[in-house]
Amino acid sequence: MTSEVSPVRKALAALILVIALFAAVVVQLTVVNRLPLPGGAAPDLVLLLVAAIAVSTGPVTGAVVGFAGGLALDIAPPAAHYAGQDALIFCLVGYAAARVVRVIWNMTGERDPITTFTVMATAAAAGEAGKAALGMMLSDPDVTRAAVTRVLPTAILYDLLLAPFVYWLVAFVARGAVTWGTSRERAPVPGFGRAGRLSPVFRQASAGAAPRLRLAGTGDSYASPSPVRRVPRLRLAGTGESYASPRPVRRVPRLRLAGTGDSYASPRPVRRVPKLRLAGTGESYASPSPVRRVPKLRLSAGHAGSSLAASSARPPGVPVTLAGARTPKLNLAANRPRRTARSAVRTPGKNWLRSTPSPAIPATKRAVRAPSRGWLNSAGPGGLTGGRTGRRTGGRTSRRPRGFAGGGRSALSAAVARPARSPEEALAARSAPSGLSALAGAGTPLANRRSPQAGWLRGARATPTGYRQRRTPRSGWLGGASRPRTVIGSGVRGGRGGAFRRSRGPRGNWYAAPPSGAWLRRGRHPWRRRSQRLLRLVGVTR
Amino acid sequence: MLESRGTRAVLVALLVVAIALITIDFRDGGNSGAHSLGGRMFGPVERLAGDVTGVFRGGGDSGEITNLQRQNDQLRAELAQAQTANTDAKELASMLHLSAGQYKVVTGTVIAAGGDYSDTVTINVGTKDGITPNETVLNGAGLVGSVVAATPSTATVQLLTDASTTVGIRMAGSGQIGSLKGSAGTLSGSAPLKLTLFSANATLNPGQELTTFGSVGGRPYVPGVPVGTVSAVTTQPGSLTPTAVIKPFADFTGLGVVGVVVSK
Repeated sequence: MTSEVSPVRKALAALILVIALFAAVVVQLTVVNRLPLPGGAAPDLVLLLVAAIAVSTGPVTGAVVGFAGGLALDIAPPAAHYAGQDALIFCLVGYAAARVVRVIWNMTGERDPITTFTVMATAAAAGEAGKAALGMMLSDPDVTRAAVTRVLPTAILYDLLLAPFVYWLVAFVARGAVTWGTSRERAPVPGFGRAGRLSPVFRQASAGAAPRLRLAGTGDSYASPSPVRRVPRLRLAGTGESYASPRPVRRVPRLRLAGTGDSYASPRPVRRVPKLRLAGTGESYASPSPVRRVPKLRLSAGHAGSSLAASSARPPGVPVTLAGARTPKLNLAANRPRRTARSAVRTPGKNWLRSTPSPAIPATKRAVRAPSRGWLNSAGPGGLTGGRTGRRTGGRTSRRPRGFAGGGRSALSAAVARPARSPEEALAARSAPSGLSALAGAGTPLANRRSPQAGWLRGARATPTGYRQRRTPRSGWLGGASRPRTVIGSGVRGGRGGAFRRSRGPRGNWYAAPPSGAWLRRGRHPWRRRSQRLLRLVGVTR
Repeated sequence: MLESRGTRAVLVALLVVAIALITIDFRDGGNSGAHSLGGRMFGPVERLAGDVTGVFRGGGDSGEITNLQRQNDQLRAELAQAQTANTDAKELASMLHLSAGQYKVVTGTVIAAGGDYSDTVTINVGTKDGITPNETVLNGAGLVGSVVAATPSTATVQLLTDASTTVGIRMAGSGQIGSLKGSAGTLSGSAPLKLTLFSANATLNPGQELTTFGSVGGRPYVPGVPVGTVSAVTTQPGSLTPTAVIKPFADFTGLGVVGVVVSK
């Protein structure tokens, strides 16, 4: 089904299956039906084959194969029932089996052969019952209640006895042609709720930072270049192809937050942030021009450690209106019209990052407050008001300044504890325009709160030396071999330090942190709904 | 869900086609063109498969056995005709417009069988051999059934045990007439045949033999072919007509060579 499988192989498998279907019809009529089996019934090879093919391929194939096989049984000579009976039943069986097995795969996130086989056997049994029911409905004189009660259990029993062999055969053939065949059923699958296993998935998911909610799993290993077909609906990040591959994201969603369309390794992240460019416009962290350092999303506590540089960088004459980095209006985008109350109540949709935290919450309170566990899946669009906005926003940015996350650690003490930033940053801060650097909050007692660096949301690779490791995923982390050990955001949740705490400064990709398990399972994040509504409006999706 | 729309369209289209087929076939009484088309398509394949499986079944001396069975079928048909002729040939012939000529028997081999609910088999002779629908099929033991459909290379035989089969019979000794119905049995042959005599005064005893009464023009059943014996009398006390359960002579589980009585 993918580019991984050669078309020759696919055609060969399809040919084999078609021949097998034809052979099954002939063998069924000439051999199986004539066997003097005890019980007066015989297994239905065609039905078994249809069910097996259906669960191994897909709904369309299942329906078509079922129709073809049933029709062949209907019109091949000894048939005494009406033409179309078996075609109807087998078509339904093929479609339903494939559908059910896909739903189960999507729900469990796992491609278990036992489950698949169970679905197939159930479908075969249901097909036998359906044949009997349809015969009775058409008042076939042969299909009486007595005949059904005698024949049906035996027929189902024989079907179940033969089902493993048929399933094995079909799986063997289809393995070569269908990428997600049985051979890779045991591929690593993310387990929800276990952050350790989840984190790579969500890092990759955050690579596109897309609200399509491509959550989970890829049936195949992460390193393999095969596409993820497994979770067709819940796409978080639009990584259609493998994570390691440098191909651009195909489904660029509308709400591309800070999407890295290309691989992390590519050093040109500018055009990747189409709308929601959060932080500064600097090309890279290393570049000394992070003029717009102060992002729109300036959470309350600036990260410590930059007080000297920031204060010295502040141009004189700029009114310091912001106590701490807590800006009453977070509309720090330099030339952009300020968002008003509307954006404050808004759900974290497209512009949530620009929303303002409520002034009602004092700085210290917000600074010490850790986001609640279920903050990500907590509210619908309506339930988000000022206080929550602040909290949610803060919680979402799990890579935010540390004083925020640290749980009561004051910014000042953090400032004392931390050395000044790197010279490049100091230079960068110095060159900031006045309005922006005012918002940096330098010069006030709480001025040591520093905004995240330019471009921190984008997760670009180039970072200043001191921050490089923390802010972005390491190069090659997608390959799975050397994933960062730190689960971003774990410090937030647990309230403990650990690896998270050892890092300095803002932690860049907050969205690379794994969302909570409940959020993932429910998949009802406002982003998702909004984007779906939009896409539906446009008519892209259903 | 992008693919789902197409998927459902395909599914709905297929279901509509299937239902249309059922409807057409229902209207035509199960003899629509689909069956003949299927016969043309699958008939040769089934013949081939029947030959292959016949080799495995028959073993080395299958040819001789087939010859003997063929002769036996022929003799059985002739005997039925002779008995009929001996008893009341002229009367019957005048009454039923029975053709005076001898029966001709075309022998064929069962190559395929129907599904769980239908008692039908396919034999490897067809219209090219002179087979037409509504002809009597018998074997060395007795009546087997009648041809219901024929394609150029194959013919479909509805067995005596099929639930939709009704055969007029005559009791061998008393000459009482009645009807015999199948009871939705299968090829395992466990399902009995049900006999109902028309005369309320007739008596039934286990062990009595039945022969076919004969149809008009010998189609679908020629007269005089032995059918089976009465295995149990099931007459209810208050019923008007005597009923019995019949054990057929022919072994439907092991049908091999059968003969089709082709009227000359």
